[in-house]
Amino acid sequence: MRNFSAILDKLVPLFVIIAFFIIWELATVLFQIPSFLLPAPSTIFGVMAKSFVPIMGHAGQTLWTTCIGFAFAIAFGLLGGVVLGSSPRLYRAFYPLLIGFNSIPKVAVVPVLVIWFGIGTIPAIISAFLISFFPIMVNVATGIATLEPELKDVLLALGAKRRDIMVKVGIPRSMPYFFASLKIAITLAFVGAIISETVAANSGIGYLMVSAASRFDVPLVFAGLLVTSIMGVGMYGVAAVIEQRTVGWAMRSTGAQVQ
Amino acid sequence: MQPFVDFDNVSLRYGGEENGLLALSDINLKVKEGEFIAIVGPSGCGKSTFLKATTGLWPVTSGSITVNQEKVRGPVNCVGMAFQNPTLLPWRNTINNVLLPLEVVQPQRSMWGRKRQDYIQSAKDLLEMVNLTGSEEKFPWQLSGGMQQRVSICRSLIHEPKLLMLDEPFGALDMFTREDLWVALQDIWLKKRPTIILVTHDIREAVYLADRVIIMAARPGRIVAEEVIPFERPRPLSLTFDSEFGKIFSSIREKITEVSV
Ligand SMILES: Nc1ncnc2c1ncn2[C@@H]1O[C@H](COP(=O)(O)OP(=O)(O)OP(=O)(O)O)[C@@H](O)[C@H]1O
Ligand SMILES: [Mg+2]
Repeated sequence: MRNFSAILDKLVPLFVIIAFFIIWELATVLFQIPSFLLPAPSTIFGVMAKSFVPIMGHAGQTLWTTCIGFAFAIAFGLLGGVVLGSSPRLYRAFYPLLIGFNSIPKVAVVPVLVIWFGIGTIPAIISAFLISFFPIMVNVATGIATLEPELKDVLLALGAKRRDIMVKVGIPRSMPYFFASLKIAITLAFVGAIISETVAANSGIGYLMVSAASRFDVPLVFAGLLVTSIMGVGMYGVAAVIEQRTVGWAMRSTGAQVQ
Repeated sequence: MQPFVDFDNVSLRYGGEENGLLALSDINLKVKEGEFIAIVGPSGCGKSTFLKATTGLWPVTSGSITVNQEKVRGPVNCVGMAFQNPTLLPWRNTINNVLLPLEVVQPQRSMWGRKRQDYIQSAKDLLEMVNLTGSEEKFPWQLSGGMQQRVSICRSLIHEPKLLMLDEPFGALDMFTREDLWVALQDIWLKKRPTIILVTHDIREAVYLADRVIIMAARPGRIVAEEVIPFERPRPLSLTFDSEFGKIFSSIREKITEVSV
């Protein structure tokens, strides 16, 4: 009986997604919505099947620019987070600047990037990086900075150096924060890459959608949207699985107990 | 013989020089090597501050502190500490939590590779003394609060520190666990003879465990009295029902009540 409900729990999200598409399909039929306003899911899937190869080509382009930008965001986010987290003074000093920087709409930066780097892949990678870097860095810094003072005292009284505290406690402790931020950051990275592609690119899902929209090929636009969200869910899933594998202890020590 | 811990006219002010809070005022105290001291006093009287000053975690405003013949200027080395909350590392199992100090302090740190098996054995011995055999591989979330606290005490002892600082380590435990741990701590102390400074709210605990009980008062934090506890070692738990024990208990209690108002 318990097994059954566990399986049900796993399947419910799938049911919700299927129900969403069914209601959408029914609504377009029932209210006779023309497909240049809101295409039915069946139409969208049809377009996806028909233009499978070009869509996959564009999706591949978006995926790899996103991943490269994201990889840079991870590297610099970790580095910046460790540096900021290790010194409250640095943290306080840089925080306002970083907030200000993060408040800039990234779409406004893209034209500047185009002036600097030209049209194409590089602005997309940089936008993906810029938009996903911040949450990673802030999370890592927070994880390190919120170290229990008593634990720090225990280590200091043993004669531990700053570096020891960082390696033995600070960094491991910030890992749950890091992985939690990855889930947010990967979807943001997609947004960044696609924004850039819609403004300044000759390929990628963003470019595909804008050019389809300019031809009023609304089903193809929706196909692009759908592919984007599938990629987003996929990457989120990867991040979530890695999180489970590596820092499961964090979930067990706070949330409901497994076993 | 030189005292192991020597407070010479120590004052400590949190915040500014003038208008900050005077947490310790003119503290004079000498602790012999291997002595077991307990500090009692009302909440906020500066007991934890006393520990922070001794270990060099907070600088004193005036006066000087000497530990093991050396003037305290920054964080001292090799001191064992345990607090009311266990602060274990949730990603390490019991054994690896206990072993943490050996990865930090010298000289054990540089012998880590060669001596690893010996270290694990001494961690197991310590865990046995606090009744935790069988929990070596468990993670903190699999242990009860009292068990975690015992692990934390083992962690403070693993490197055989010459000075052990305990800040209400048994405060969050039930009475039976607490009494078991008193006995265990006394055994460990008799065996290894570290100098222990124990901060506690529990007068029974202080009288049962310590050679000398220091009574502090608040605003400003100062030492108002001390009581030498004459009972022989090892002390049985039943001693706490003894009439002589009761007299000392009441006298300390009275002194704390006096300074609390
Ligand atoms: N970091 C700090 N900055 C400023 N004031 C502090 C700081 N730590 C403690 N104090 C103040 O110093 C006084 C003594 O604090 P301390 O923690 O030493 O008391 P305590 O005797 O350990 O109390 P308790 O028994 O409740 O733990 C208190 O009035 C407290 O508010
Ligand atoms: Mg305290």
